[in-house]
Amino acid sequence: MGQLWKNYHVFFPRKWLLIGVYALPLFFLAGIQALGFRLFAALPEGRLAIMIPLFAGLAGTGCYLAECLLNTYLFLGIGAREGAQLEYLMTSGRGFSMLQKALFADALRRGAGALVCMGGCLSLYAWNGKGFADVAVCCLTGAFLVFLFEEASLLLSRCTGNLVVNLLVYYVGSGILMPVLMQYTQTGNIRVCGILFAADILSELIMERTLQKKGKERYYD
Amino acid sequence: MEIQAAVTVKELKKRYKKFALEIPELRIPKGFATALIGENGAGKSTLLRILGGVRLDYQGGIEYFDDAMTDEEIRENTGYVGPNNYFMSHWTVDNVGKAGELLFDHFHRDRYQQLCRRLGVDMGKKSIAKLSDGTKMKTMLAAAFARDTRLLLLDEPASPLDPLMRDMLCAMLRDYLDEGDGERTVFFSTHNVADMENVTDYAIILEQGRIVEEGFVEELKEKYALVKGERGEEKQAEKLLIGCRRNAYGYEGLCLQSELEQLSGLDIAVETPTLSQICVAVMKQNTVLQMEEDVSA
Repeated sequence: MGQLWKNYHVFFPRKWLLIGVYALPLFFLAGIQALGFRLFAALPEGRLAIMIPLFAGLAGTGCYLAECLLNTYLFLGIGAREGAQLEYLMTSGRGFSMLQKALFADALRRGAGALVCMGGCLSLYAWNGKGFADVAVCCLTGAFLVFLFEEASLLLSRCTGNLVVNLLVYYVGSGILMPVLMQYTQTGNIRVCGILFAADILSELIMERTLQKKGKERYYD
Repeated sequence: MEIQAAVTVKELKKRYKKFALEIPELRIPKGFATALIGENGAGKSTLLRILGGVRLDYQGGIEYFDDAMTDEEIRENTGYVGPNNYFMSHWTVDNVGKAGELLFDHFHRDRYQQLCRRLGVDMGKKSIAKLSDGTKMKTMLAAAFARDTRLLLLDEPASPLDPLMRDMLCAMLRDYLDEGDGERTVFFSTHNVADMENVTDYAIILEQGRIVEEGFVEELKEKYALVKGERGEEKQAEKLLIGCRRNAYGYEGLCLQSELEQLSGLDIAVETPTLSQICVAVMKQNTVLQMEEDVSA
């Protein structure tokens, strides 16, 4: 496990960026919780149930955009045929596995980040009278949704180095993600949650396979 | 004395849409510095990338070090430096050291840092993308020399460097070979033949994807003679001269030593050519470009 993170951290050239990456979800969590408590105290009874999905939508979309922009900085176009800047890695027998480990660690961190971020927002439901199981399902549904959107956008981002195309995808992605998040985090639905979990696993496998194939294809015409 | 080969290439073929690299046989002599010379688009970078393991889409066989080594062992013993897309652009100079430690068994980070300081590379927070071409090359060279390798493959290492650094590069390459006690080999491509001549033991001239001339520099200098003559006689001489060109005093060109006797009736001066002159003449003879200055044109 230590080797996994060691490989990943090689791709972070700045310490402040590394701290930011891990601190970002916690920052969201603290901020949203604090804001939630204030609103909970101020709003008339029953209104908080409307505000929580809005929190979740904003926080989840923010998390998605932050991850997309970070990826633009770190791994943009690594699976593209030209301009992947991987020759130094390619000269080593371990280069490809090092990159794979880094990408896997990145997926783990993003998944955890999405869970913490959505957990921070949706745990407010507990103060609104929802049971633990419903709150947990809501949190997981939100986190899986954010992760799924991240996967889809990042797959494109990693296979093309075109920044304009990527930004367009991020804008469209965030525009769709926010209402979807608001819709699906209102009610805890275990079936939706399960489907999203399966889709996340599948998307991660597709991402892994596509990048592996693309990365190796770069050797060929 | 038979010279051993560090790398043996057989029936190598790499085809592009409008270009094909075809090398029936190539032996890079072990323990020497070999220069790969040729015009732009001759196939130098393609050959080096194939030998460096960065391209695998070729036909033919390549044998390294005359040993039955695994791919990982070959990569561990081979240092490759290429001009484009080498490091991730957001990496810093320090990141390269960290990555090197993880990527290679025999990467010495302290040596890398010493080399960076010696070459004047700032270990600060600047990303690779913001460095000048010369500094990028110095960083690549530091990363390659920081490893314990038996073969260095350098794609145009001298091009972005200033004359002082080129001289230092030659000294570093010579030290690398001397410390290797005949076991280390350097194979580099260059357009700066004159600057790199004092470190070149063996030269290979590549044109249109084919090797048109190769040999030890001293042998090439014995094979060719630089012929200089006065105006008016160039018509008679040009049939035997390679890369014949006019200058202020008359003409000059390269002639095979074995054919020198046939110029005996002319008023000529014969000198030993430099490697640069040999390369230019051989390239002129084989190029598809229209050489306007050529006497025969």
